[in-house]
Amino acid sequence: MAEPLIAITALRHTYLPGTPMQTDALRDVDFTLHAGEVVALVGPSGAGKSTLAHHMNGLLRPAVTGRVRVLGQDTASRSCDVRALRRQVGLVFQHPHQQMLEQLVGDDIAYGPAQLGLDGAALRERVHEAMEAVGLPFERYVDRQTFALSGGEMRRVALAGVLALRPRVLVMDEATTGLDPAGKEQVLQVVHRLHAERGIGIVIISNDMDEVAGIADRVVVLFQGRTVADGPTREILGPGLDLPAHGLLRPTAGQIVDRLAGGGLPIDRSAITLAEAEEAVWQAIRP
Amino acid sequence: MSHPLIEIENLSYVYESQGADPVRALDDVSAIIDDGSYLAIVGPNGSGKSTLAKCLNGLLRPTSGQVRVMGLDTRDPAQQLAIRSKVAVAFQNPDNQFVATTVEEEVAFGPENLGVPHPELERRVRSALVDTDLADRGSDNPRLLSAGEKSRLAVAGLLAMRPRCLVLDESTAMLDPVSRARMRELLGRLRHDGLTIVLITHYMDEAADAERILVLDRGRLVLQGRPDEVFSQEEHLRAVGLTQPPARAISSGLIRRGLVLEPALTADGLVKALLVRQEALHG
Repeated sequence: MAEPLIAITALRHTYLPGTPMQTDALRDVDFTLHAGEVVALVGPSGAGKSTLAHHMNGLLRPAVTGRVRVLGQDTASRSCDVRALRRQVGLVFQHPHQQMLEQLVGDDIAYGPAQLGLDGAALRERVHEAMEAVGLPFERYVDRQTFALSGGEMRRVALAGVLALRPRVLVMDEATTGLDPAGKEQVLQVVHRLHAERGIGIVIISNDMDEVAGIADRVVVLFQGRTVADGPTREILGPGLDLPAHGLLRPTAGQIVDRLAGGGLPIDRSAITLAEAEEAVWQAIRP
Repeated sequence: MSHPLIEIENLSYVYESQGADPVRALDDVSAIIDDGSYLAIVGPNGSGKSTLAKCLNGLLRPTSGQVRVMGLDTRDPAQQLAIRSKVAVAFQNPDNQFVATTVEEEVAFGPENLGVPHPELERRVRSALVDTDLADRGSDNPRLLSAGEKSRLAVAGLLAMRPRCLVLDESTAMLDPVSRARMRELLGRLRHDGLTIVLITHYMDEAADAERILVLDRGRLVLQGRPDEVFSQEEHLRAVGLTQPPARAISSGLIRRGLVLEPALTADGLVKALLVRQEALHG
């Protein structure tokens, strides 16, 4: 098997070491992302999800304990080309307005590739391609003011800005939080397409277990700075794992079948999507 | 008999900014929020929900039309303080709102500014912390709280001012699943105690908890009614980019398969209906 895109082992991360404010955000974390995978990273707030995301493109690097290999490079190593990593591992954050650098949509998306030395027709082509990938028609949006965009549009501009660098890995940190249902669906479809058509490795950090159930191949659970579970989505979100013990809940579908089972209805509890819950209920009560 | 707490009449709000076209965020919105009621406001991003929240306690004054809180006009500067003590608004990022170094001081900050005297102040702080499950965090620094605790702290600070109405502008959006469930329980208790609640949310299952739902789209009020009425307008909701609550999606599917069932709106409702049905069939 080829080397994973991201391989993190026994990682510890301490903020403000040696001060009274010292906190261990990560204590013992293992995480891998293979080519072509969509992996969801979940955990209650404070579990260390964002800190881990920052290790995925060298924004943070291991200080003492742990090993982080991203696209074949050891990020703690002096010879690590962090600039190259940041280009190849795109991070999309929860507050897109913090990522907006320019007043016009087209300029904002062009910012990254321009830094790489692209200009003229090649740059325009790159921006065009990124905008189409996220469903923002080029002619309609290229000259729009970034501050006047809706939340969903802003999120897609931020995503396009990252995609314009043609990354091999995309890390989305709560990138759909606060979006309306249609906006969320649009962003997830973009992710799906990027994965299917370009084989980009994708890490999705989300508090929305329904969203995770719908899109991830594999789920990694962080709790108090440790990896406490890692497995296929169906296994992690299914009835076998005690998610509440890790500060989480099953997806809505799973909660409903669990409660029906708890109420005495003999029902298959494996459902993680609404369609599966409907089928399970139907099988349990059909006339 | 219900009586209105907030009356919104032909409310329009226009954002003016230099060098850009004015943006009409709210366009001729009229609605009544009854005292003691639970109202949800839903709509796509950019539909005017947050602007409406800010109009409810006079943080923004109508460009045209009127908002009256217990008869007081929000355009009247002399009524600002009275209105803000009645209608409290909690926003999405509570971090930006914290001013004190302990949780207790943070909760006391609002009522202290209103001039609430001492024994009463302490009573209020204590009861607000108990109500929001923060009683054991009183001496902690607000910055050390988890995201879920922070949003409950923001609510505690508002409760200590004893408002008649609590407006929550996507206060659950950033929360993890357990914290979101706890916030939902808290709102249920506050509603039981008679507080008027206005909840702005993208989660349709949360909206289904309310007695009434307003649907905004591009600044206009396009639909309003009880949750069962609003969510039965499937086409209309889809057209504005909204979905069904998960429990309703499941029950609609079961009904299409031929099951005789009232469409359930919440997981509670669906589980109860199915268990009751099973009980009736099999005793």
